[in-house]
Amino acid sequence: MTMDYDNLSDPIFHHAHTRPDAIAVIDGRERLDYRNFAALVAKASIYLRDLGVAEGDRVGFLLTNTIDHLVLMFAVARIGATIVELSIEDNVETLAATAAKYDIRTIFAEAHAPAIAGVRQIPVGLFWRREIEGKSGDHRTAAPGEKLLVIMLTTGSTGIPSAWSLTHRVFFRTSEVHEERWRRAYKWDSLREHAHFLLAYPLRFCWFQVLVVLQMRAGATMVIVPEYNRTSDLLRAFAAWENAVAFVTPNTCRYFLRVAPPTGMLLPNFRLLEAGAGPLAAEEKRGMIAHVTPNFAEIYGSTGGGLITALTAEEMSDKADTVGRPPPGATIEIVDRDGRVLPSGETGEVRCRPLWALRVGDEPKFPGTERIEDGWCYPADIGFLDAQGYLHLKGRAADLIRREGTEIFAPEIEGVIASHPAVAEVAVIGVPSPTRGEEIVAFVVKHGALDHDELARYCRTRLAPERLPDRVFYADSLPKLAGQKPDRLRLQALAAAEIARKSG
Amino acid sequence: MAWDNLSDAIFDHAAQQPDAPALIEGPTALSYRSVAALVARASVFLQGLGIGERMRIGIALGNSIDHVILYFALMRIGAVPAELPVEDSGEKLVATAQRYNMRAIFTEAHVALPPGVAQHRLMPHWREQLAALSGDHRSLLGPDELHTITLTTGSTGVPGGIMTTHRQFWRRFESQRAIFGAHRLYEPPGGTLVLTASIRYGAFFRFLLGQILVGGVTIIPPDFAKPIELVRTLAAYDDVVGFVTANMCRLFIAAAPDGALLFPRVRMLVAGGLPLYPDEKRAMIRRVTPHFYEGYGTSGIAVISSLAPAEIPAKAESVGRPVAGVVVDIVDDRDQPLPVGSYGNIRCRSELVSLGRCGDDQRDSAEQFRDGWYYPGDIGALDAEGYLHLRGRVAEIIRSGATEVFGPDVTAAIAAHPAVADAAVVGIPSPTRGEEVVAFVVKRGTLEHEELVRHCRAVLTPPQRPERIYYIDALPRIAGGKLDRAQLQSLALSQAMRRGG
Repeated sequence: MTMDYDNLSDPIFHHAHTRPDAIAVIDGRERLDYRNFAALVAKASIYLRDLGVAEGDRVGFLLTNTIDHLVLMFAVARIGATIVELSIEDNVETLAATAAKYDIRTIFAEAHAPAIAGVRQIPVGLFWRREIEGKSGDHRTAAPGEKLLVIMLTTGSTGIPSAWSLTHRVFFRTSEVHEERWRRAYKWDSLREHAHFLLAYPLRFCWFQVLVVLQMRAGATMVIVPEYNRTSDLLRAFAAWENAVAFVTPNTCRYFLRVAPPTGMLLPNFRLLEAGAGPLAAEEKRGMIAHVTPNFAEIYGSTGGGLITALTAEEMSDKADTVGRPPPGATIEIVDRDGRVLPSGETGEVRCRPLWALRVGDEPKFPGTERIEDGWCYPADIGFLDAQGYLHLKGRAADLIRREGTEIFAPEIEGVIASHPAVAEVAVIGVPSPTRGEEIVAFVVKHGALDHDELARYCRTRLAPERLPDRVFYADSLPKLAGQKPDRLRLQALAAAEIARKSG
Repeated sequence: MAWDNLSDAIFDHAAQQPDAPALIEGPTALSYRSVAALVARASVFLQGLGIGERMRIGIALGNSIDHVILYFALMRIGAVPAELPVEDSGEKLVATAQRYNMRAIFTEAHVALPPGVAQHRLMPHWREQLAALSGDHRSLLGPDELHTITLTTGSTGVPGGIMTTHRQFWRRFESQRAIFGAHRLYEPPGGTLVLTASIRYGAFFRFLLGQILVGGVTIIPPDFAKPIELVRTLAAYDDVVGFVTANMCRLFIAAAPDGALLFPRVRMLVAGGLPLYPDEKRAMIRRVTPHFYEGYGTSGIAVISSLAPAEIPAKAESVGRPVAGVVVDIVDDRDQPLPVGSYGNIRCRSELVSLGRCGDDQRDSAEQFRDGWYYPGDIGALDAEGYLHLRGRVAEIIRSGATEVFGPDVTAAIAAHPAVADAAVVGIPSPTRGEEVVAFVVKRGTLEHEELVRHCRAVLTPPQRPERIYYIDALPRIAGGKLDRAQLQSLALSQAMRRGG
């Protein structure tokens, strides 16, 4: 392994010394070079110290992607405090509960954000940089990279997210893995020459924090692309940059496929477009290569396992039905229910190592969520490895519902509904929806009299708004599989038929 | 002096100041020379699609350089452009197009319309496609024969369509130049216009047009998911001019720093659309920019009155005085003029007034063109100093979250319940959603609250459902039987505050 940095902020200072005029970040009209970026991070480290933020403190961020956000994030890392990116979509109650649960005492928030109870909320308005203008010096912690943490929040079970911790060291190791992978796959000597990393999703999604660290480590240029209401605007923003590197979701890929020209490429300017965070069909991947950019790749990963496999552009022609192979230094296995390793070709649960992140707090009680056991990460996916070592994914270990970008775990909603005394049985499934990705549909078997409004009220007080069922169907019984588990496929067909009947 | 065809301005600037920037979108900046070349080619492109003079053409696109080029090219060939809501469903777009006899609709690349009208997709590489064409296909129609259609919001079914000529747009531009002269709005090079909302809303289109008529530059931001990004965009440029909505003003006030202006570099901002509360207007000049105007206008006339920054301290509860060129009358329901201080129907006479409704639109509406007068459909009074005070608007639009809710739709749905004798719906400012829907209900006999909630859930979409329902003995009304919305709103606000505290 090569020598690496200790602190997430170190690469910025390294580039400030060696290539001070190289552009680090572009945000709207502003272009900030590494010299000035490092200077802002140093000033912000003093500002944080003056605010009384200490090494080891957990600091929350409730900000859209801006230069000021990046400056603060790296300054928090620099003083040895822990970065926790929060969701700007969450309501104040959830945020207050999250802060209390994970001991986040300071939150940097947009100036117009509503107040969150129980935390010290520091507004970061349009003129935040005036706050650090007069500061001088630099306040870097002496703690080593394996002691410094970042906390990632993922969608949790009761509306409060669950938390994972990663060390700064792991971030750098992951960056190295990606760079090595790209060096091999794309023959890139260096990432930094003229590459524009497009940051188009909130930093609370861990891949994007990785992307920022990777880019800073390489000394490339980050372009902040705001969130838009329509993907057509995202496409315009993507098409505007030369030598672009970006990460997108499968839905964005599908949009690109729909609008791609019959001849030529939709995004000829792309150096690398990687998709992840959900499955793409083999023909979709081949379509991306043929009509969007020849530099298309897919990655598969999880919070605990980090990057698990990757599929390069060259492999798309033969292996588009897989998610690729593990990167250098990583191992994956397929195991049966009892943890026995299965031979290639046999389907079972995926597990991988090394570990990337560790859970903060208890492992969740719901079966089918990602878990860490005996040094292995189980992302709760089902699949098999073929003879060449490529991973074929078959589905989620438990049905995960993806509604409006949020991952919702059906059993947690089932648990809440089932706790109502007048509910005998319940099954919750995700049904494809043209507007939401998936809708949450609950099938309920009543136990005596149950008013629908009463059940809706019951759910509203116990579930976060994005977890409330979109539809509830009442049935006399639920179709079951042999193991007494609800037959989700059958329920899905029932729900689809019922929805079609109602809208038609 | 005026150009016959509004697109001529672009070609004139291309000759006079070819390298001056015209349109900026992200890292792309086009000069007047480039824009003129693209509009000329786009006119040939449209001809190739079989689009010609007097054909009504729908445009369902987000703001972009390509959208602006398409719009001016349609005007150039003498077609009648009609902006449609980009967020409408395919079915609704086709229904609107059929209702207004549109020959085709331009949509974003990914949209698939159901059958019923010709669809042209504006593909991502449209400008490159245009590069292969040459020539210019300008119509010879005169400024009174060249039309555009503006669709007013109608969230139930069909929007209303208003026809306006190129000459009327020119008059509106002149009026705008006169009103905002004190802030050099159109003094060359005309400041930096930031286009903060879709040009399908008349005011935003008018500001874009004005900027192009004077050869100024327009920044076209994308449709940001987070409104704060728009605030950052406005703050990022020098000498900004812009039209903003009441909800944007509320965000500006919330985001303003203590003891300093949010937009110290702004040349002038005008708010319009829905009215602001007097305190909000005062906060705008104190905390956001001292160069803040409020305008009152509707799609049929563009602008009726305007409140200048210097008038805000004393007259914030009004929407200012009628602008030059507009005569305002307050009349009762039999069109008899009312004395100073009395509330009644507003009517106007002006060269700014549109031709009228599209011929096929004879719906009963409060907004009317008759006997040489234009009735915006609003209730107001003129005070002794000539300031106009509003009491509610015909387009009772409530902006709940990202959705526009049309108040009368909600009222009608609630009133349909047999145990409801009378109902009214108002929007009140909400710290999180822009505005929230509040309903006032007069019961007929017994009516369980739960029952009414169930009814609302059955007949209304989620954004339409009232956040709160208040039961009262009778709805407050002003002379002539019109609902007193101002009183309902203050009732709703005081109730909301009591609950919040």
